[in-house]
Amino acid sequence: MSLNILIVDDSATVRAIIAKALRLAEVNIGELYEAENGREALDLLADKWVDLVFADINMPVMGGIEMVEQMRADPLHCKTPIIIVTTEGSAERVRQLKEKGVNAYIRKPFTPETIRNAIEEVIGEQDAG
Amino acid sequence: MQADLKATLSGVLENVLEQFAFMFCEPVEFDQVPVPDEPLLQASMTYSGPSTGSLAIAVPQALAAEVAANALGIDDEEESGAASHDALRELLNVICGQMLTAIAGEEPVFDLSIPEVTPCDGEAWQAMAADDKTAHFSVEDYPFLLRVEAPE
Repeated sequence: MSLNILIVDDSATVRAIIAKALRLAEVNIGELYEAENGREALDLLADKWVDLVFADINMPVMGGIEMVEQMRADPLHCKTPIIIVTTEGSAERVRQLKEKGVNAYIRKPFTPETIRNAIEEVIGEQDAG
Repeated sequence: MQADLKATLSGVLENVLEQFAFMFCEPVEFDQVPVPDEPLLQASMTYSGPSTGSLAIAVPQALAAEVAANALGIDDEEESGAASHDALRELLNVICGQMLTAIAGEEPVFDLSIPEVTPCDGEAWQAMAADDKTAHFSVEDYPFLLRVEAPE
């Protein structure tokens, strides 16, 4: 099964690195969408079906935590898997994010294998590639 | 800068540069870092939480371009100026997150500001290089300054 994936990060470099890692990890990608912040992501989600979201926490306009809260409050996106990709490494922060409905957490810098493992964790090995 | 903090920063920078941009660094002494005769960039950010502080890096623009090209897997010639700024911003962001974990451990929660990138002139470079809160590195033969203002 191919996955429609949305990458949300204010850094074009990080969005490109995640996209490259997805290709190197041989993830079966359907459509690949990008957004620069949580607000743009929510606007895109209103129009496009997305199977998986990668998101940063610390972004201008709307950060990743507020985006997760709004997605989880929306019946259409309350179960869409969300993987946070961030530089912050606090175990307490990970607990807070999981309580808010985040499915997995990747710390920067990361490898394609880390990306693949996270996808398998939240979606399942057969659907990842 | 205290030797133990410099050793911690050196380990963090080595790890981040290798994973982020496939680059290698080594600590050098202040007198081994002349003012580069080329365009320079500076990135800075703050953090807050159990303690507050700030980080800044200064590098030649050519190094920022190489970081961007390596991170994106493109040729240096394809790299745009915007990508250099963006890559430098992200490099500092990752250094900050990794440094806080190395210093404070994995329990405390810190809030990080969004890094800002600005041009850096020779005078600003010299001031940063001479600051006792600055650690000096050589990255792929380019000078690299990393200043950390943190509680003692």
